[in-house]
Amino acid sequence: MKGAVSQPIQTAAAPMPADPLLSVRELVSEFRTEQALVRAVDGVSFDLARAEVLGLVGESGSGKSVTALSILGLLPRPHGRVCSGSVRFAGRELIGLPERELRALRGARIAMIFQDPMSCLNPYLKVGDQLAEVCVLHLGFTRRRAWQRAVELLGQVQIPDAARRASQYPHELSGGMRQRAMIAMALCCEPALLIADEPTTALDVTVQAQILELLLRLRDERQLSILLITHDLGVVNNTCDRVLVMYAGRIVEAAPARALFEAPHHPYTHALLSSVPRADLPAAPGAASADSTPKKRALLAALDGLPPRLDLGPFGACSFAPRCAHAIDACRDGEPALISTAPGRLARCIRPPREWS
Amino acid sequence: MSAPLLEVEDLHVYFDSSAGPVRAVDGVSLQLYPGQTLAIVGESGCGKSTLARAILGLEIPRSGRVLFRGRETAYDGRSQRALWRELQMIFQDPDASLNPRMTIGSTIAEPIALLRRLPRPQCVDGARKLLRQVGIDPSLFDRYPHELSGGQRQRVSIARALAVEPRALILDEAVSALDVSIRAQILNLLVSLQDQLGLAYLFITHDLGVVRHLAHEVAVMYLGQIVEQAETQALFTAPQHPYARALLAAVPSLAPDARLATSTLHGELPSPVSPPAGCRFHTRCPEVFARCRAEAPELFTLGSRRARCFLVEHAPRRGA
Amino acid sequence: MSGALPSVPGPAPSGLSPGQQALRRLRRNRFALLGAALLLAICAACFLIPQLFTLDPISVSPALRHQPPSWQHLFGTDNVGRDYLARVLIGGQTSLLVGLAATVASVTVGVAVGSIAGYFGGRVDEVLMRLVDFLYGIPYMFLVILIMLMFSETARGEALPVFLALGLVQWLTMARVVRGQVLSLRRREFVLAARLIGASHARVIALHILPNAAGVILVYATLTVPAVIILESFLSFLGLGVKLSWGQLVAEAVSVVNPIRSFWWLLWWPGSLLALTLLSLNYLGDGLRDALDPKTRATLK
Repeated sequence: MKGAVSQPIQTAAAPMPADPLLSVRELVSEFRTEQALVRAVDGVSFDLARAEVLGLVGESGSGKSVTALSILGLLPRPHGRVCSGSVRFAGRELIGLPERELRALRGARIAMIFQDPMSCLNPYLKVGDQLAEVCVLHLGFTRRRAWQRAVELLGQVQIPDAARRASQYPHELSGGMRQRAMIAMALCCEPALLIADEPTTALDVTVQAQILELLLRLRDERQLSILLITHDLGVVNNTCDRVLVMYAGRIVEAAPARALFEAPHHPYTHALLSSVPRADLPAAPGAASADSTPKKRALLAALDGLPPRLDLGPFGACSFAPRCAHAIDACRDGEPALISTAPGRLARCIRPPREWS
Repeated sequence: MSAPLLEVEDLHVYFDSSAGPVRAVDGVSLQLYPGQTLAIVGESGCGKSTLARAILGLEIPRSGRVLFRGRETAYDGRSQRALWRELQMIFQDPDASLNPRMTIGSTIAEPIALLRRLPRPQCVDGARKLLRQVGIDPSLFDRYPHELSGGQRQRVSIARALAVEPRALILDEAVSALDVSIRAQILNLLVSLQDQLGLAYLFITHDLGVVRHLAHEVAVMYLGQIVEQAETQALFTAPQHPYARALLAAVPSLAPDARLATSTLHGELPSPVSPPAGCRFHTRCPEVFARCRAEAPELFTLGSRRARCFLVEHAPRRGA
Repeated sequence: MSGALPSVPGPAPSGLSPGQQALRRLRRNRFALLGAALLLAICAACFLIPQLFTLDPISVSPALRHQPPSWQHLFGTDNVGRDYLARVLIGGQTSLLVGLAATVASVTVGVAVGSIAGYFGGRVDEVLMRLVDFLYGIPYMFLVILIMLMFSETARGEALPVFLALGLVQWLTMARVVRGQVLSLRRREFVLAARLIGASHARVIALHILPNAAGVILVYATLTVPAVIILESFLSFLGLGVKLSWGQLVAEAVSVVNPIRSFWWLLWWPGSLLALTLLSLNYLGDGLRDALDPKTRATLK
């Protein structure tokens, strides 16, 4: 029913990584709620190389967060579960791994940060103590060594006056600093992979820029791989090497960031990009008015309708077709597969880009 | 140019907190003209939401005036209702803006009954018309908010605000909580409503893309003060105030191959309880010099623009 | 969104109001349904059977005293030969009515006080909550007994004094609960929006805030009824209860306990009916709380 061809995504910078750090194949995750069975992730496959920043972009309901949680085995039980598929991390299969072993991996080799730092930080403990605890638990440090490491880490994430800040409580830190503290906690054990789920969505734009800068520096200094999940296309454009666009639980496009933003190969990506009001381009002029009232504004190329309901089961047609400006009859005949539209690029559409773009 | 619809004159709104008085709005003046969109841009703690509440008469200012169509805002029930007949607000969170226990039809009909005082059948009719006007099928009249999507709920909020036939709307991050594709739909709706009905918008947001698309004029706020105000195009091509420049530089660009601009702002946002002496921005300004620490700049006028910075005291700067 | 369920955009298929959805959830809860059914059965028994069969709880027949259950007297007879079935069922009427009435009174007062305090805040809130705190601090039974003693000896056996005493004490918890709900609802934007479209404070409280707190109020009300019934029973134990109620019957039954002869039916019938009623109310209350509480159920956002 999926029809997705599991092809590893290739980086444009280098041919298919012989040894991807993370390899996801045909991941399927479901949620059971009182009303329905929701297939939140429906056959997702991708590779992530070392020291690569991979962006996972989508709107709400696209399945991007659930993908991340599935990788780490963090789906809320009993409602959620991974139905099938494989997730290999450094050659080791994670799906089906006993909880004890997953726990050893989480925080140590694979770390995750979230939109809200207070989901990681205990408001009743000092920041330094929380970081130190991770070191003690995972690395077996003594209290004293762990505290030193905590202060060191806070400095590495660019928190000024780290020693003093380590003795403070989370509420004494600003939003940006809390986010940095959460990143520091994630870096405690020198993970190889960092999964960041909307890490800057709740932050002011100037703080966001600083945090993204920090993540990129970490990637360079430590060869850290980052899976960046976000709905913000601008963030993706500025930080990611490769991008995966998700819609209704599937990947609909995969490409290097630059190529994607230059010329998207899937109608959804194209529509999304066209509908975002740009701060870096002058607004399109609207109709001029004859009188003295302010000039009218032009309309955005908005995408009509709503994303499909995931609890209604397989569609038997392209899930984007109802909203697609370029849909043809053949689009409703079956679900399209992910095909290669250019070297290093995939798109889930039966029409080649040059036909419609 | 016609008379301004809304005038704010040297408004100061302070709160008491355990740490001391918070100067949330500290000397803000602005005008909103009929049919115009004025965007208020700023980051957390700049006072934009407090400003909105003060304009609506929900906060009593320490000093300064708010005038709507020439009438100064008083804080008793009757004047408040008279003001709200002409000035309404759309909120950020579509989930929290609607009463979960009322059908959307009743939600929209209620203001017609209360503020326009029409009999029930006309209220229902009016509500159906408004639903259509905001792009919702009137057959959804009896549905409850939880049955609608986020975008649809926001449309209902807009319809409710339009029900009193206002002249101006305050939009407090009205599209920030919506998905990207829905955001564009709602922005288009707002634009066409403005064209049809001649509404003025006071648009509070942190999203500079929305500002550039929608606003005729922009005011940038920092720590309770306006630090720059200009026509949209002018601000984006040649921002004068260092904070405005930093803000614009920090917005991630969608241009292919754009790389992250290195942030020029250092330090943290100072506490609004004790703003820095001299220019409030001097602790983080990349172009600070001695005078900035000692003296607080006023909002200097440069033609039709204003900027609160000694660097532009006498003449505007070139584009960034 | 760590750990959160996926959002499923698009409208839900049904046209159910939040109230109807809750009802549906309630129907699926077996214990709650059992409780509701039992309650209904007990109420029907207490109110209908005495009417239908013209039972007589008063006429005394000394010859028939302390008869165990038999076909003539299904529940046996008491120490002066009165038909126990009649007494238990009619006593049940009293217990249930007093429970209901006192609950209604306490809910009314509690909701009024709590919503005013929570909505207006400031001095009003302070004054009202200090009053509540003060009354809370007074030992419960002391207050009740004090109120009871204000009535004359003969009047004390009537339902009214007991009902007053109970109602006046129970509203305190309801007031606090409602205040908490109102405090959290007050900050939601739809409340401000209601003010902006011209709703008066009274209208906002009545039409916007309270309907959204209705769930919690209903749950607490359902759990107040058993509390009141127990209180009444306890009062009866102390000799201050209503003339004929389950509590009274239990008190009388206990007073004739002796090692030689067991009049088990005297304690058994009112006791077990009391217990069953309390159990049903608790199951129903729990079921209501689960049906209405968003945190205990999995939802699609």
